[in-house]
Amino acid sequence: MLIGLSSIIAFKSKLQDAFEIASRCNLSHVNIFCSPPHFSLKEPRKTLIQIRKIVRDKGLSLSIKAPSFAQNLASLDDEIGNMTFNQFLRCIEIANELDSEFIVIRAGMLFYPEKIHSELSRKLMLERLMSLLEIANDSGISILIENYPYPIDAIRSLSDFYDLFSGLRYHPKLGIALNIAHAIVARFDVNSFVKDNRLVSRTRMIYVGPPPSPWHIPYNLRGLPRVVKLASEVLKHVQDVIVTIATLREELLKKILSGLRWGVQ
Amino acid sequence: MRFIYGISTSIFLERPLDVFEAILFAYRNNFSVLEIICTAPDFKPNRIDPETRKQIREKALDYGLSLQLHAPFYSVNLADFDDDFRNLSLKLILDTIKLAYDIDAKIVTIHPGLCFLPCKLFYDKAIDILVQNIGYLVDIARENSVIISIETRAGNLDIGKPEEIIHIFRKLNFPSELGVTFDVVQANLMGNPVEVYRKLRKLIVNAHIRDAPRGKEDLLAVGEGEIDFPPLIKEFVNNRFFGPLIFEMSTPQRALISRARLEYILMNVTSNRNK
Repeated sequence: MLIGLSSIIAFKSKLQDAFEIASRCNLSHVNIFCSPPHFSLKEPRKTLIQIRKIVRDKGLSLSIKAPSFAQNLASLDDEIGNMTFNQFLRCIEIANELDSEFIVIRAGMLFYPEKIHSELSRKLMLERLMSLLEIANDSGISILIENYPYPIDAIRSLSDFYDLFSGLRYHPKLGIALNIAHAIVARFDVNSFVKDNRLVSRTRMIYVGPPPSPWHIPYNLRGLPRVVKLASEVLKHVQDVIVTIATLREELLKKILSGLRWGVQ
Repeated sequence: MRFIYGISTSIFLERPLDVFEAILFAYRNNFSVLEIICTAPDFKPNRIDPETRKQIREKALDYGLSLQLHAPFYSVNLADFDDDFRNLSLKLILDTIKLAYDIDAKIVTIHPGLCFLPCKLFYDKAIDILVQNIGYLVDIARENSVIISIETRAGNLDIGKPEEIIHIFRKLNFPSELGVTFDVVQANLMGNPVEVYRKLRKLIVNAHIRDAPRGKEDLLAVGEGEIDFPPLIKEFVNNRFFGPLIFEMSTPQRALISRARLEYILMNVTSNRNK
């Protein structure tokens, strides 16, 4: 098990600060959140080479969290769907440049039009995902699908994961990034999840952070102990996983880290 | 004293949109305005061919119906820090303005923007980006004889509170091609709809009428939710705002019921006024 952090911890300053914090806290992984002005998908190759050198020097590994605000692989608007596809494709290229094994994505959002034309939007989402998986496969990169808590999200429950994995024929490069805070908000059936080896064996990342998400500021930390406790439980069932702590605040990172170490012991 | 009533194509939300059915429904039920929601796949502006544009314009003219458009809003964010999506958002709205010109629609309602984490941490910069983009859209709207109307938005991630809208107007020197679409449910989510209306009243060119339970977003008929309509209607009358009042609800029946209820409220408001 590797423990790391999301680069959002340095969202207000600069990406390099996330590497510094990871080193200072003896963490071994950084999940780069691709969102300008923090980190742009248009970063030149020179910058990527610099990043690769810094993380090598610090003994860190990297993964890529694709942008996930407006992006929508399930969109019935071809311009939105295609732009999302191209941005995720760029994430695969960046992962390749940075010797990263994974990219993490939000699979899709189902707004009214996508719900009315549900078969078409599902078909489009699966087609776009399958094309990305084939391209990722050529580079030896896996695509991890993150669960989200919102009613509009295509992947928020255990049955959504089953549906997606069967639709993509359990592609070998398809994996899961289980977001514990999102799971709690969406009442995701974690107990059944950890009993299903087909999904557990594909879980390569676990996000731990303040609920409902690290974006909801100011934080309400009352739910945080439950997130840490549930993450510790899940960690007893998964192997070869990266735990990514996602928070904007360093003191909260340390608190979560200490809770996790205590919980796992 | 009469309100100008219209319907939104949201009333056909439960099935794929047929714009000609919507035009016919508006005509047969004596509505004066039709607001067409532009979303893929049923009504994506750049996919509407010239012949269909001509037919829409002519049908509306034949029926004496005034048209307006609601620009795409899913994944659309004029305040986005991501160049790709911001430029795509602009393009989708520009396509809508072009369509508005071709079908002789007078108003294009837009959602101003979304405030995700980058915007929350760099708010002033996000608002600068938004103002710049709306300024650009206003220039294009002017060339196409269209009014861009910013919808009031209340959500945690939405830009569109009264203070934000007024800031945009100030920065752009109150251009005549820019207006506000007052959404009653969104205003109710902010607190008291009458207060929101008062803050924006001089800028409002269009209103979305619907109802919802307190603190919730919904597309219910007037009277089905918890919004207190009589004081709002009184405020409209006192300010001589007669619409268009667009029924943005989830079924055709709800639009018909809502008009009847507003007429009844209006009757009471005006009779009390005359006493």
